[in-house]
Amino acid sequence: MYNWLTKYSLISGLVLIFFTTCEEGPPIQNHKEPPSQIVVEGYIEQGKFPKVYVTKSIPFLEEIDSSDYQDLVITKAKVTVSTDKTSEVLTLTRESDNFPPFFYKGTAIKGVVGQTYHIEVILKGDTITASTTIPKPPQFDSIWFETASDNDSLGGIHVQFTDNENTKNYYRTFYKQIPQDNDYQPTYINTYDDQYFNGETIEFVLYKDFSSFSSIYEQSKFFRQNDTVMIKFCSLDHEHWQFWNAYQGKVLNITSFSVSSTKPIPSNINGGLGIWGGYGATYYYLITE
Amino acid sequence: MFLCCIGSLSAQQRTYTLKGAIVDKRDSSALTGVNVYIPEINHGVSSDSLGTFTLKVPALDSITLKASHLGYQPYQTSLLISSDTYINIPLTPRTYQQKEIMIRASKQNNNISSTATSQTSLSAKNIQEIPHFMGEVDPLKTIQTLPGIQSASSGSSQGLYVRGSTPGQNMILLDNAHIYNPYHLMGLFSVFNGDAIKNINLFKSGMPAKYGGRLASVMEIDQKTGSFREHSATGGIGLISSNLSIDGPLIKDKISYMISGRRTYLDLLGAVFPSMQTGSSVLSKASDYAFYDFSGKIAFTPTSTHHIALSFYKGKDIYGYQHSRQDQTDINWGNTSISLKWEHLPDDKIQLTHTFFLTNYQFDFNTHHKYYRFSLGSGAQDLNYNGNISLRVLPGHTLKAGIGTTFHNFYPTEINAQIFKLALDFNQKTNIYSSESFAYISNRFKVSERLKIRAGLRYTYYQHTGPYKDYIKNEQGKIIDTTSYNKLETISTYDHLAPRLSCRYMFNQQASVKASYTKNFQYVHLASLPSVSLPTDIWLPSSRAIKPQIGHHFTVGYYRNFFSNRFKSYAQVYYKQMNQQITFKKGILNSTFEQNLMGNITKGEGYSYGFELFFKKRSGNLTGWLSYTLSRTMKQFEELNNGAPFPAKYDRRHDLSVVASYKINRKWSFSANFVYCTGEAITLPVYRYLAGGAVINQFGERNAYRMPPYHRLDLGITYQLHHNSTLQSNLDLSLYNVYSRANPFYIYYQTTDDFMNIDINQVSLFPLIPTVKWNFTF
Repeated sequence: MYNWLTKYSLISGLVLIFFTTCEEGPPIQNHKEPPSQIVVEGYIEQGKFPKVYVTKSIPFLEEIDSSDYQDLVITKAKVTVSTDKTSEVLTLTRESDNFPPFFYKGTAIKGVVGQTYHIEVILKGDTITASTTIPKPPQFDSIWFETASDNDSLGGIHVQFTDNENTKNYYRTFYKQIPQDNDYQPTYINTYDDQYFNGETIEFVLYKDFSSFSSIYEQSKFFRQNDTVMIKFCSLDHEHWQFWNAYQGKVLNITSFSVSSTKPIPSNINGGLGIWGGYGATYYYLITE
Repeated sequence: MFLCCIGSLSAQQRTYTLKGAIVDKRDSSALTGVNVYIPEINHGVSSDSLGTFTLKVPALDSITLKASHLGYQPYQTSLLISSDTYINIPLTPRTYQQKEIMIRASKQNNNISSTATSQTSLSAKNIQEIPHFMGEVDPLKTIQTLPGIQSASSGSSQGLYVRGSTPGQNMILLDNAHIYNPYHLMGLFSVFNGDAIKNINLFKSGMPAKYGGRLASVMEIDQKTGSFREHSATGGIGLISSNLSIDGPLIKDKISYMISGRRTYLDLLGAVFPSMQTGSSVLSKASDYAFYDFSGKIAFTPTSTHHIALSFYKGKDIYGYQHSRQDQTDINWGNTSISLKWEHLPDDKIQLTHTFFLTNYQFDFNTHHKYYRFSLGSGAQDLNYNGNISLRVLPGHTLKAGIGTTFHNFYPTEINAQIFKLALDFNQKTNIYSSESFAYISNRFKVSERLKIRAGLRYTYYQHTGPYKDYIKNEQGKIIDTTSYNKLETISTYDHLAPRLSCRYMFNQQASVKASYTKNFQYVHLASLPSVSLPTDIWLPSSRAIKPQIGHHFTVGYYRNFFSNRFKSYAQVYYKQMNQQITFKKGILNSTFEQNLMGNITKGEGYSYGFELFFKKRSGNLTGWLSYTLSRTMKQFEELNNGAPFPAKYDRRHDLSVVASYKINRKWSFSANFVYCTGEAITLPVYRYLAGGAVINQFGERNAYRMPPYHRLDLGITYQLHHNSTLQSNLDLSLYNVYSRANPFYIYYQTTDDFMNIDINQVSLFPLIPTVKWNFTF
């Protein structure tokens, strides 16, 4: 909401002087860019095998085409997930209807609540590492669909839950529409910090289409009556949450330097970028009626 | 103002006291800073704030008394001095159009002889001289053409950056009352209505011991005093705003009033010409904006030695935007102040001044939508008393001392939010109470005719008091304990001694070298949001977690006048160290909760050094000045840029201003203003990467890149329409940004539809803007 606030206010200022605004072409010169870094995006959930994407970063202003895009995907890394007692080298797996089209998948180690998992990625002599823990899965008290006040078929999925007063908690929410979606997508607002509702029973609403805040008026944000929806409600540790919370801020303000934070997204990857995170997840099945 | 003795008299010769009062002939208002000079004894003084002066004069058959002041016709008379003498001097204003552009000096070579290293005074007429942006006379825009003072991008007044300091490090006093936010319309205009301002006095280094509590500068802005004799009105009608000031006696020669108002009518234009409201689809439906200022002064002179003035100011920005019937956003902010000043001159050696003020700054943001409501407010209130005494009991010494205290009441943020049925817990409005008490002493004295010193010492005792709640958190940020403090209970204290030293060495009447050192402590902090500067910038007082800012400021300069002071110039170098600076690490919502306020702050330091050059032509048909600054400003914060130093956003390597005015004849005059400065420092992404199905931009080193340079030329033309005893009026045409330079306001980028490539664009404000305004006085 902060980013939205600042954006709104700044643009408001511009509107006030509506008759004077103009735009011009590229103004920045001598833009220095560092060498590419390895980017890890991986997670492990209780009862499931780890899933890890490995890519590399590209210079900000470099022009690329679709063939270059394929080069961003790293398929020759050695990815190892371990606990204090066991370890496993993950296997490269193809996922043709997705981008990146390859990921590294485990077949032995499954996530356990409370367990800490380490990851090591080795590529051409470079080694990057990270660790994460799977917190206890949270649960909703109740979940239901409600149409918006001025509409009889579109609405949001309302949830009520009670935060644990004695622990510091971070949450994330996802949805999957059946049969349209292959995988879970983040809900419109998907990161939550219990500093605003510690120990309380609260109610909030889940929407779809996590792409930009300004399109809240678009119908694509709403669920429809008679949709079949899976909701995934997760707990995650602080470092894991920090990444996705900052990521959410970036995505919602993706087009402006002036109003988006210029702070890099915090990462728990040593020697690279991205995130290695554990989820304690609870799933809900709902037909919106 | 104070008396300034410039010579000592022979002890063997009988001397008498010549006292006088200098007034405006039109309205009998006291005139300060008038140069009074007796050529026979080569002595002179400046009139004080009551318009009075005192001179020791040897018994002579006849002396010539000369008085001169900017905007007034020179005065000269002969006097026979055979006893203590008192004289009234009425000065006749020059004609309305005879504006003199120059920055005023109270004596012809005051810039050479005074100990002040960087003091600038501007009269109302000076402020009028540069071309006006959208027809508005803006004192802060004139000040920004001086060396070492920079503006933000787009040529707005927002952000008065004095020698690498931030806007929150300036003390802006309107008739002695603090003004916390001196800007309208996101900083495009200042809150000071040119019609109501009498003069401005700015210290950017060598701050007198009387002032403290800010690291960068002190700006004294005095409102006009109404006439004690006759009623008059001054005003202007322009394209976006109109203003009117009226003044006159309530009781002739005893009590006068001055009331001034200004209002924009952009909102009315929007209603009349809705098609002008273009822009993005989200924001084009209906937006209203207006600002107004309303100020005044009641002056009471019960006797010739007492002067009492009650001043007030109220200004507000009102912005509303309605997207739909269910979606409305309102942003309002403004200052209110009231101040009282009592000056008393028991005799010619003592001047007593008491001031009180109450000031309030309030910012409110409210938005409601059918699915959510959100409101945010912040504010600051001050209650202050100052008592000052000026003594000239020792020959050659001017001793000043004073005491004072300011009670602060800040409420950094008050937030209410509701999304559907969920009311988010943002805690209650939190007021933070503190006080600053001070005492100072300073002495200005001559070591020799060439060497003059002003030394001062200021002591401040700062207290953060209850009611307040202190939260103790564990490593996860969870509150594990709370300490509550009662009303007036002391939570933390600081006390400091701040020395001041200025000296000048005169080589001759045309050249001198000066140096100054100032140590300052600042107990209130303007914490800006990380990415943009908005009225939502939050004022915070010092506390246990936020220590006072500390500033060390060194200045050395060479001052040189030419051709009988018709040309003035100086070259200065400075170094400024700023310690214990603060800024927010994260966004505003993370800063708004009492328990998080301190945790969202990162501490650091900064320094700035530079070279300044100023050259001014004071008289003739062509007048004007050139100012150039070469500087560097760096910051370093623990948790920004990985702890490494980085350039400040407004670090400007080069900053050049040229101001000129040319008077063709009684009817026509022209003015021009050219500015050039290095582009703002910005932070840019250095690479992109894939995460969560989106392309993420990873930013590089903070402020490592530069926007293109800023430059602009403005022209102004004034044509005198009426000039007689009952009506004086002119037409003022201003051309802002004559060659329509597209200066960058901010940079944004767009990804192509496939997220593969990036287009960088800039948004520029203000192409060529012609405005016309009719100004009048009757």
